[in-house]
Amino acid sequence: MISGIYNLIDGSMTQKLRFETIANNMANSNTNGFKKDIISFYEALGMQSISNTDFSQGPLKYTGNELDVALSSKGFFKIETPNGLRYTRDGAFSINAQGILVTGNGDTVLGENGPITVEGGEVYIGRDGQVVVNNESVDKILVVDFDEPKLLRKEGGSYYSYQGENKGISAPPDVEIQQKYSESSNVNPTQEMIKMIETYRAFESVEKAIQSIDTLTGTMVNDYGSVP
Amino acid sequence: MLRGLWSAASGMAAQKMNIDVIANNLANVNTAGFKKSRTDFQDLMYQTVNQAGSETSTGEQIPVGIQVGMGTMPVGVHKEFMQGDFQQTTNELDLAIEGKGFFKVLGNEEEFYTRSGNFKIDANRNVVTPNGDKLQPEMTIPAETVTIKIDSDGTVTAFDTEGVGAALGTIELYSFPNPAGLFSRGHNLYRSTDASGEAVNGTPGSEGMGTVVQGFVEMSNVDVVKEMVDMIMAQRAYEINSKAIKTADEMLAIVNNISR
Repeated sequence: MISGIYNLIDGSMTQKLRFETIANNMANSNTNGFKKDIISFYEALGMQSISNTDFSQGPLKYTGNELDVALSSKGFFKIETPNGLRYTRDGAFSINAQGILVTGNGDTVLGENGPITVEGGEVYIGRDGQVVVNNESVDKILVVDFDEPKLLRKEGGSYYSYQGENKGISAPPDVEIQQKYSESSNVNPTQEMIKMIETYRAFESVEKAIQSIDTLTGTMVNDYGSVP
Repeated sequence: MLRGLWSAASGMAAQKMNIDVIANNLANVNTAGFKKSRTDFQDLMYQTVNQAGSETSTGEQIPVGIQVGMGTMPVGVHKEFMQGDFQQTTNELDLAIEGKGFFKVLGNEEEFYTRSGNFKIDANRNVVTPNGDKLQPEMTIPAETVTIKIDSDGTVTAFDTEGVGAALGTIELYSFPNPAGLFSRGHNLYRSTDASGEAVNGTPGSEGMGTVVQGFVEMSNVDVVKEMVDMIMAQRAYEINSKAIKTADEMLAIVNNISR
């Protein structure tokens, strides 16, 4: 009947998606290593919306805990999980009962020689990821980077899975690891708040437009159609 | 309905837990041997709305899909066993551990571990915690003792009125592969779990145990300024999530008003 109304519904669905993404960003404003998502429009695809993860550096926060590490360079920690290899920027590690370095979920953090045993004593982690326990070098925390970060898919639990081929994975040249720091979420609450207001108003005007079309159609059908 | 509503609700629930933990830390700012806790968060699962690489109606490939997250969750509240500051006392049975070890005590026939070394003597002259739990291995102070000397390696010597010393034994320490996995029982006591691993026994001064310092207590390792800043962060995060819920509510109200 009136094609404009379908375009408007499309628009309101997009705004809904934007809002949901913003709400998720806000919910994760205190999640270590979290990277915000942005819904944007891809012109070549007829304004199709896509979600992009913004991998910009989050602020580093001092924790004083010797098993907290933060990446202040590009790259990801490589984690071995029961579901396969995963990648994360969340370096709030701990030790399990076997003395192996694990993530908050209990999955093994991989070093150059596999799992890293850090049992007993003072743990020192160098800027290049070298793990030193009681003045003895144990292993080096593995940091990898991706040629195409957009092939990373968020899995929840601060993990990413990689959808591309292995040749796209490389060791970044300058790794910077900070011990006793954790990388905070890169969500900027002010920005999200403004984006949320914007989305809300856009949603509102789309619905207003739907109402006007409805009124117009009503007039057309009921008034013009009636025989005087 | 709006997924964002649930994401925001999960954010509020997570920040509430964060505040609970911070409040407990602040309440224990003067508790001897107290170790602060910290809440860690993770993002929840993602729903794939549009798969990357799928084709559009015009035959082109979408380079990036759409993944919408479902919010956040607390993944763990873990104790941070950083050294607390030492405070000098006049009690000769006050012991502080400089290092990673724990004292072992027996309470209600169950073994517990503690960092709080403000020991006392009970009516039977046993060395006990303020709750009356006996230090392990048990130690009895002779009646005629005037002063007690405890060396940094844990050797306990009692001196009588004549100034003659008698060795009473050694205070032992215990360490864990993963102290963050200990179960907090309250009353400054911890119990070993599968996650913490088995306790390793050693004397003060041996590797990974630390030494004991007589006449000092280890204070709480809570840093008030840091907790205050964390509290502000948590409160603001709670606030923005509540704003998201309000916005979601208003958006739904708009939808309800389309058709009059």
